[in-house]
Amino acid sequence: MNGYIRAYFAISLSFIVALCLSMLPMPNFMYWLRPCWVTLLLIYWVVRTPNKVGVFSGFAVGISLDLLRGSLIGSMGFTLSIVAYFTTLLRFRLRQTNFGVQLFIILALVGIEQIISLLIQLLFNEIIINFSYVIPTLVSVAVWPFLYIVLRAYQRNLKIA
Amino acid sequence: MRGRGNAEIICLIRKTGGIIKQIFVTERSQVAKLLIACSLSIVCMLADFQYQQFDKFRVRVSKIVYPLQMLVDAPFSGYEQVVTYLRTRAALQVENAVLHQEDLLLKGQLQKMQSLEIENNRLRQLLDATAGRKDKLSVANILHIEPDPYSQQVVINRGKAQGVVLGQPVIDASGVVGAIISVDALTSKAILVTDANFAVPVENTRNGLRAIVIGTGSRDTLELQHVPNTVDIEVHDLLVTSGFGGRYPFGYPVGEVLAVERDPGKPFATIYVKPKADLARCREILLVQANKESSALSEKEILPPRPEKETKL
Repeated sequence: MNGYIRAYFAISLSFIVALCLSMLPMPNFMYWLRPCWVTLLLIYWVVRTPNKVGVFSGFAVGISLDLLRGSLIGSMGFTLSIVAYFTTLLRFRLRQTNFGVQLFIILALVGIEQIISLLIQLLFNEIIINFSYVIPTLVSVAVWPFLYIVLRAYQRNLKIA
Repeated sequence: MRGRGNAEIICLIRKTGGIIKQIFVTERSQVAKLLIACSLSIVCMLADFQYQQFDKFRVRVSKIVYPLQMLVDAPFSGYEQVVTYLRTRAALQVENAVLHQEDLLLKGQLQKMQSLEIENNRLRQLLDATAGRKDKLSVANILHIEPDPYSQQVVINRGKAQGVVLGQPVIDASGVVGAIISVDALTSKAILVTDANFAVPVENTRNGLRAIVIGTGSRDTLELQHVPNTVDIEVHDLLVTSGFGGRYPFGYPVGEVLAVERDPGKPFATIYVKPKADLARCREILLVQANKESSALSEKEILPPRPEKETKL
């Protein structure tokens, strides 16, 4: 039981760090280079601990991200619960396949996140679409290998299963 | 023996239980969860968008989030403090001398301004017009820039406690920055002029031409909309607030015309404007004290109605 509590604590701690990272002020030229930390973390935990992190966790994390960002409440909740769902469907594939295919799956998942949130924004806000909306997705894919190594070490050290 | 066997089996089940659970996270329950989560989010979005149901909740959350924002901001403000602390005496002396000179220059200009203002007021009285009013300013710091890539908003360290009101204009040393769109207890949020949902009524200082400047969503350009092709507007024209929206006082610089594209096939000229305020770099901003009572405004009223997009005939 103690292990359970510790695991949940460790997972929530990592999410809090990711939320802080996604709030970090950035210089102007790096504005689009911010990876989708929260999405990547959600994908990792859903793949590694699907009995602890799932659709509802995605929803909760999304709502807190909305509150912190000041965007429309529920928009990221919607997006991240869908991402969590697709990740649960793809989790075996993500664990088994080689690294290249894994990156493609990550690209697809983060792409889904970006497209859905863009559509929601189009629905509720006036925005002007340009090419730069693609950049965060690519940056996220580039960051994934490093994040994976760090999180794997984190998970092993804390023995979260 | 039997008891021991049972215990072993139970132990085995416990050990494998986690793995089995991992494998059999049933797909059907996932779909149900997804439906619940999505419908909840849609309800949240509609409630937030249509009825602003979450405003009070946001205020409460902002009290909890405020320390976190300070924490995230701490390394940056700390860095600034260290930099100011470590400045050499020589650099400070140079800066001091420069500032002294600037001060003198400004004081000289101010003398002239004062006499001009008095003269202006006298002339206005002669014309029976209302005297030009002075706006009160107060300084605030930008705590952080909203990382939401679809909107351009900043959080500042002044809130209801310091008398910030909804819709209050925000400027910096060189021009209009934006307006306050939500006020919390200790912080408030300002929308920047470059946000695609924001518009300011302006006039051209060279010939008094009135138009509306609208944000484009990109950080360094604005657009002047619905200006006919034939109108006299040139690059480097200065646009200042016209005061007609009732939101901004007259005369704060908004931007400078960057480029004018006149396409005879289109009904209106495409005019790009460079914002005067240094939106990317400023850390201190000025809140313009509203003279009129404008506290009971909803967010809808602050954002001027955006004109319909041009339809092609």
